Amino acid sequence: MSGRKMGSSGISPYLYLAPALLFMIGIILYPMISSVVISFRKWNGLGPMTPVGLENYRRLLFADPDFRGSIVATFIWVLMSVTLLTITSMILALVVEFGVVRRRMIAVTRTVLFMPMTMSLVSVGVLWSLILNPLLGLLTKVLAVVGLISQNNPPDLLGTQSTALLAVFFPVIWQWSGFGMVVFSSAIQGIPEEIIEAAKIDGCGHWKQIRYIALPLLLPAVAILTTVNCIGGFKAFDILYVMTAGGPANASMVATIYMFRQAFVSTSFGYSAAISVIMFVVAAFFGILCMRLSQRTEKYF
Amino acid sequence: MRIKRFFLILVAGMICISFAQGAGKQTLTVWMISWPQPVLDAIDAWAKQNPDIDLKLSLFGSEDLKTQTRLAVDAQKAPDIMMTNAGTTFWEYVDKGAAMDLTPGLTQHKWDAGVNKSYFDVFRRSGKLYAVPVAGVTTWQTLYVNAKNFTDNGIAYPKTVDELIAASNALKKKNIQTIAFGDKDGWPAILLLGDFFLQEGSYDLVGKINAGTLKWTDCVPMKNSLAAIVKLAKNDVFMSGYLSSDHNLAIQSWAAGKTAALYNGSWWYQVTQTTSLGFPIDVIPLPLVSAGDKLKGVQLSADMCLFVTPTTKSLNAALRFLDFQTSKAYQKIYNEAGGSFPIYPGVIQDMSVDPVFKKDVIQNQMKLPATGIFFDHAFPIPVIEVMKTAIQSAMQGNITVDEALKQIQAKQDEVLNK
Amino acid sequence: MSAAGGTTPEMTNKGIVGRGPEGVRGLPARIGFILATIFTLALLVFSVYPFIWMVLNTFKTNREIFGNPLSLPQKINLKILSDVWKAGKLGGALRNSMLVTSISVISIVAMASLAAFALSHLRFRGKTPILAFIVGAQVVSGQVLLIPLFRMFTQTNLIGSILSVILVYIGTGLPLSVYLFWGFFRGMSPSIYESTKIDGCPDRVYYSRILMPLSSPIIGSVIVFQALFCWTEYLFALTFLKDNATHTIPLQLQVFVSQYLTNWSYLFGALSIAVIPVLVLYVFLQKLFIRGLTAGAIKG
Repeated sequence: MSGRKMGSSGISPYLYLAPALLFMIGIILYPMISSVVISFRKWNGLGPMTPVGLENYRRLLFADPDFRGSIVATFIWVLMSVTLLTITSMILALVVEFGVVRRRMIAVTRTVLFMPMTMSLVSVGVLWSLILNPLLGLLTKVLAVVGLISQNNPPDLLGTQSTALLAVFFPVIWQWSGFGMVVFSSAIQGIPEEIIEAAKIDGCGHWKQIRYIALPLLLPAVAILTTVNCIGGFKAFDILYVMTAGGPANASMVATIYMFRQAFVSTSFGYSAAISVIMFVVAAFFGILCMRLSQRTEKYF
Repeated sequence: MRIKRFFLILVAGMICISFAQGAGKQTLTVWMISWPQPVLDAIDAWAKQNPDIDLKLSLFGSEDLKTQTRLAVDAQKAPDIMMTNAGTTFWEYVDKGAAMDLTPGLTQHKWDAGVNKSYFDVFRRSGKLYAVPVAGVTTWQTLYVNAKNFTDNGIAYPKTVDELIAASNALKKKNIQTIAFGDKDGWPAILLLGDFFLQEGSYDLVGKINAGTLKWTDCVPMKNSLAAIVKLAKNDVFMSGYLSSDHNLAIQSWAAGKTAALYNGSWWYQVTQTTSLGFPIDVIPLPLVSAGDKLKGVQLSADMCLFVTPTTKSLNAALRFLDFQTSKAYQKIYNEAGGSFPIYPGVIQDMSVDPVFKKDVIQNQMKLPATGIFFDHAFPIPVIEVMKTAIQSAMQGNITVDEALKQIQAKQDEVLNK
Repeated sequence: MSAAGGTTPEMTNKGIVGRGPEGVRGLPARIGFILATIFTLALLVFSVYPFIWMVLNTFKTNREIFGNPLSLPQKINLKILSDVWKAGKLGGALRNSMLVTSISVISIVAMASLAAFALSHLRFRGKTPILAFIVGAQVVSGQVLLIPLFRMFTQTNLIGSILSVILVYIGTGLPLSVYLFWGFFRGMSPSIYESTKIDGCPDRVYYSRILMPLSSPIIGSVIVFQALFCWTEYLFALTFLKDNATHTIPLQLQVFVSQYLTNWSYLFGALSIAVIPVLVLYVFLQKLFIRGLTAGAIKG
């Protein structure tokens, strides 16, 4: 690449960057720093802030079983996001690309499978809370009609500590598989025709095509989606708050909810800020990890 | 010449008058919970009747109001009039100087004339009044039952917790669930604890717990009450999904005929305004923890109150608004829309109340000593948070009653030692 | 990108089952085909049924909704839609949401593409730390920013105006958008830019006449992502917009959920109405959207 004629581009690159950078510094960096400062203080939102040094962090890391529980819940959630969500997205994409024969149906199928993404998370939460309600909801009715359960003893998925987290994840799958589907779909369409033709000529069957051609070539897309799902998993808040508010008995309380409760219910803003700092570090670490892994797989191909 | 002078004076006079009108117009910012339409209409009407007040009303959901109020007070951008619940949160506002001393206003406007003392006392400290209660009271020590479920199946109304369990088992055979209960947010269970507590012990024990002279783990009435709740949960007396439904859904399940009894205050009344119930209602006292218990008080609280920002520039308008909120006309509309009972005298006679509210069960409870405050505001906030999760855990059988009380006591100690 | 002649990506179907002589024939193929179709139909139903349920519930009474979730409404009363519209002040909320979304999205596309252009095409110092900052900024979750931003906006008197949410949406939407644009630009062949530079073409002309038109796929992606976000964001809108007049759609849905009573049919009606504009936007941008993600995501 000829670099001599272009040389250093002088002042104008910074001009191009300035608007975006200014916004990001003002809306993200500055508040983040502010949060870090607050995390070293004690503040209840109404009075003065008193500096307490590392006390908030000490309590969080060593003396707070609720926080430890929320970290466990967060990790379970992130794990589910990274694995289940990616798998279901892949299945949807394979279905759309390989399972639908009529060409016109493809666009329709894709649109319908994408529709859940158009609802706000709060709406999805409200809708699915009702669907999953053991007494009043759709799920119980459907299962009872099919005969799988008795109507007198319906499963309370959201209200049982062992299943609450999974139950909330279910609408997340319903909604966000569409996003990953689009990513994979486009990647599949990027597979050159010649390879498929060559495989057909070799007598390669339908399933063999998928297994030996599509899946390996999709690995870069998998890597990208994994990173996005990982970061997104750490940020999850709305759906959990609406459906279970972190319950029952804190079973589904991920770190973001704990942070929110500390700030707005217990009015310990300093403590809440400390949680947010710790979680940022953790999320950034895993996000970078995912990105490094994805860069490795890219190099492999 | 004289005509000219006359007109000059006339014009000058008109300018002066319009100026006076403009100068006299006070802006009054009020933040409240979102009420049903008839209440909002009444407030609109009052604003129109008082053209010299520019009323700016902002409405919020109850959780949002708590957050917004707190943030606004901290940023010193508080509105003239704010609304909050009685209890620990309210006292935080007073401690920070965010609530004006309304005693002079009280002396002049006599809002508390003829009102049960306890309703105003919860807003008093050292003889000074810091807020005015404007809500009605809703009764809790009761179950509103779907009479058909009981009479059709020959089940007698239960009087004790054990009888309730027996009734529940009988109802289950007919595929009916028993108590509509929505504890997703945690506070209904605390209120139930409070109701059982008032059957077993007297309310002053709460003061002792908060002062540190009595421990949760040593308080026998508390232990018995929690044990009763756990026993009910163990025997599946609460509706399925009681930990994932909020009380809104609980009311719906009862209105749809899926549950036999509703523990939920009298808010269900609003439901009947959009849906007819389709079954006869009856009201029974909340079953007793132990036979022979006598109710020592009721959790009656005119919970929501209005307080005034000390730095307000529209004090006159604010006081007039308080007058309006405590007036018979407004209280009638408010309580009819919400299905609650007014604390202000002379209102209930004019109200059209559902006959079920006139029954002895309820009227007798109104005569008992009122705590003036709900159980979920009677303790420091961090303790309440632990109570919510501890009770839910105990109800699911994951921890014992003693362990739950230990957890709560640990938090209480933490708060006391700060 | 598609290697075969002029076929556009979405027209191609890689499936070969049942296509005739070239395809694998026989019973296993037929069964596979039937199973695949059933599975697809099941997925479609699963995706769309909650929507259908939502729309049906709009026309049911509360008793019908809870009495039998699977039933059809007794009567379809279209008047309810206009009731919902009025009660929820949806007209105003729609207007606000559209204003917020369009201003935010346009600003984001402009600023992010400019920044990404500089990062991918131009040489200057400080690229790595800036890129690291952009990636790190994506990790920050909304609630962390809530209180500090609230205090900041209170002090500058922005609270209550839709400008406050617009600023927040732009600020939080930029990191991912810059990243997406950057990935896409990096994947473009450098020869175009080089030749324009040799011809003495100034950067801004290259940007507006060549780069952006070529980037329509990624622009489509960014638009859909950010529009979805702005349209459905709840937490910041709730905290910053207090006046009912400035509320966006997600906030107005809360009007139907009061503490004591939820008017469920109104709620479902409002939910149904709220979905329509986004759906329209998605269908409209579908072509751009899909191509864009291929180029941007994989090479990024």
